[in-house]
Amino acid sequence: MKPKLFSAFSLVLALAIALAACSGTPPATQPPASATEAPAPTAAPAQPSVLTIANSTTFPDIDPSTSFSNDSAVTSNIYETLTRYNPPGSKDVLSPQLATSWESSEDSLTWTFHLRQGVKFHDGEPFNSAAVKFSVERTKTLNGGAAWIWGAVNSIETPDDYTVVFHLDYATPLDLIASSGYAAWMISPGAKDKDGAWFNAGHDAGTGPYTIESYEPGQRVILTRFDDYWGGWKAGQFDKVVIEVVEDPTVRQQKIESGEADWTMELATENLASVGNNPDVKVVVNPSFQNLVGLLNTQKPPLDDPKVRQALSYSFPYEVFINTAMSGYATQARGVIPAGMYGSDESLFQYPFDLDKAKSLLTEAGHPDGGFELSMTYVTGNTVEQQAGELWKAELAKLGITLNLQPMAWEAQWDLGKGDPANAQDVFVMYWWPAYVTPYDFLFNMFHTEEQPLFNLGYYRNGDFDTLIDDANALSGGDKAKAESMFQEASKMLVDDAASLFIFDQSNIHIVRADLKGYVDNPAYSHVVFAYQLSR
Amino acid sequence: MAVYLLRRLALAALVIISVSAVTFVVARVIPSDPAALYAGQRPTADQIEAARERLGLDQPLYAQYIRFLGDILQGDLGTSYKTKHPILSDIRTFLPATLELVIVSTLMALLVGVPLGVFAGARRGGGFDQVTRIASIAGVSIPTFWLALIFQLFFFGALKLLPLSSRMSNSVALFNTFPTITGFYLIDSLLAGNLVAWRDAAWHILLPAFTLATYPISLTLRMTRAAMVETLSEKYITAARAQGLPEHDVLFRYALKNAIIPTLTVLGLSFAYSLTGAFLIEVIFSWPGLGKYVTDAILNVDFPVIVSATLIVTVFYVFINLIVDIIQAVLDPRVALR
Repeated sequence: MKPKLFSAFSLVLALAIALAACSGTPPATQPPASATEAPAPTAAPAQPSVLTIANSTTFPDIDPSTSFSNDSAVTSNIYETLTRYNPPGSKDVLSPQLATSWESSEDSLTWTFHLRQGVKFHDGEPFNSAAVKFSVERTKTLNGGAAWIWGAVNSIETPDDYTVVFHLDYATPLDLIASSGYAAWMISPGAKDKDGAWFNAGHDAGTGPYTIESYEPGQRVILTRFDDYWGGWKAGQFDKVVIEVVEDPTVRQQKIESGEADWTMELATENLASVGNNPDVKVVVNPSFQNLVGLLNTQKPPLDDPKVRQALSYSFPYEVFINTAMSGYATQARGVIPAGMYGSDESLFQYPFDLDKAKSLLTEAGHPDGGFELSMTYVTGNTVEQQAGELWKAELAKLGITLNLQPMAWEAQWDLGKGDPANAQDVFVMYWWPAYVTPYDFLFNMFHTEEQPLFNLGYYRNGDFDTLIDDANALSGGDKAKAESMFQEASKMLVDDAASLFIFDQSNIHIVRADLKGYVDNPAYSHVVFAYQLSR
Repeated sequence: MAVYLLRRLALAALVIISVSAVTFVVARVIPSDPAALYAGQRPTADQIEAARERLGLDQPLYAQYIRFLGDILQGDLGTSYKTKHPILSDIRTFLPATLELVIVSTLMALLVGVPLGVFAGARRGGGFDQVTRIASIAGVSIPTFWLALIFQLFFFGALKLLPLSSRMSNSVALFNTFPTITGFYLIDSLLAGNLVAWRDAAWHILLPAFTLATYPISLTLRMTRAAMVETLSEKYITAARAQGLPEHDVLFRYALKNAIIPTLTVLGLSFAYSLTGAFLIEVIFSWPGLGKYVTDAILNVDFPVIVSATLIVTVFYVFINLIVDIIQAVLDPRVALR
């Protein structure tokens, strides 16, 4: 009986493989004709135009309230915020999106947003003040991801359909917060009974230009245009957007070069030169708002002495590191606020690589021949952080300082850092990026005094600094220019104190097909392609 | 026989409970704060505390374990720390992709391994036997991740014949969609009568399934060959040949019938083995299956997923072992008496 069953199996599979083998050109290299089951979206032309994005990561959470990761590649095309942060070099910091204008009270404790009229959610619900209230309250209640950005909001009033008033517990720039690529999305009240599982099954409830057509977790999301989008549609804009998960950099490179993808990211930097030689492909390099820091343990000898910290800042081979490990695609950081961001300062002092200067500072601090050991923690497998450690170790050895590199899983590294500073690492290497674009995100999280360490993992304590940045943040809702100079002053305090190694500002490197029109990188929304702005 | 069965079942239950306890404890004692993991990328202290309470991490370890077992008995594997999705629904999403891959590769092992084994056994010591011997030894010993890369380079890079990765082309996902019924693309596309999608899915599965099949093919080949050599020396085969039956009938209708039984047993076990072997293949071929899901979970230190996945694989192994034990006892009643 078994052999009979086996023969039957064999026959079926043999037939199947034969059928597959005989049926002509494989679709791998040539897309099959779409004639058989072409979809019929109402207003779309016969052959829909498709934008294909080869994304390097999966999308862990596409619930607009809790998403706080690489998901913004998807959410940014489906949902919209009240305001949008403009790319560096623009005239204004923010532009209107679902809010057409906004103002704050003198004390920045009351914020009024005037809403765009005639906007519809994908489920047909109208966008109005009730929807804004619902969205922010849903996000606050779920309290996941970056929900804390709304922490200052005490109550929300809806005096009429198109006006919404936020009352705050403390002054903060709510217009900037409202532009965040995380947790600030406007969600249809029609989704009030829906949970994260519903959203992550491939449903959405946004106002954005695109809506989810299908979602295969771990593989791809297909977006299709929302015909009733308030911005309207022009000829040449894309009907569909495929956001494909392609985790292997070689495959991403192959896809962009062959034209299978229109946009991709994170290719091996050593291959970028050859990719850029291809006339069909453009390599777009822009500053990002992400940087790499090495927080110095300010509570533990010998690094509790600012002179020793300054000496360390002079001992890091910035240029060599950026040219080798980063293939030149980064710039030495100027303090903790990334270049190009509101609050950054082009005239801020940068520690150059200068071992003589380092040695004289060490001598002043009573360590003429070094003679101490330091531990540096970083994330296992992160080759950039590892190379930073190795290059630095070689330089420190010349000063008689031994650097012990300790690669760890992020969770373990962070756990060690959150413990007692006296037993913690000396140098904590990590990347930082803002949840919404404000210098306060960098200054507060990494340097504001913390009783129980969370992200201030150099345990920096400076009362004047704390007051200065808190005041600047309160002011940044109203007097942005004054606040900016205060942020710059705070930033300078950190550099003078050498509270951290400010290693580099990362570059965003995106690779796009040359025939794609309208592409502008916006570091405020990292690795996001706003498909609506593009055409071919 | 009933006593034997009960003993086997009790042993199986013991293995599953022990494995669950060991993985649970190991996952919890690794130095790391699960509440901080659950709270996401850049949580506030409040969010971490809320997570700790929500996950019951403020309870003693044994209480957490009992709660974990209780949830599992109610069919709740918990939620992933990283994605917050219910693990059971994630597994429902990703398991069909893995099973499809493993089933196709097992069928390949049957289809390729058995006939080759029969011929090798029939011409023992001949050129064909030598060639297949070298090939099967290579098939068992070459690491699959290396083989996968070489296959990709050759079939995609050089020949441009087969797709590099994933389960389906974008073009098919866009213009030739079909409803998900079983989660097996080869079946769902057929049910929808969508041959374009079926062909696309078949082209995509060919390379990963074949890579995964190299081990079971080699194993099946060796087993079948050995069994055939033994069977062909039996008197009834000599009798069949003496009666002038065609050689094909002698090999496939008379000899194989007896020779295939041990092969099927081994293939059953290698099916379970392939389930874990698929983990590596899935990562290389961007195959969105259970293996890729678990690999991501391990990299993210996503404990509940790691523990659940370990448990599922354990249950799978134990179940298949149990079946093999029972089959053996049925085929040879002496086994049950030991």
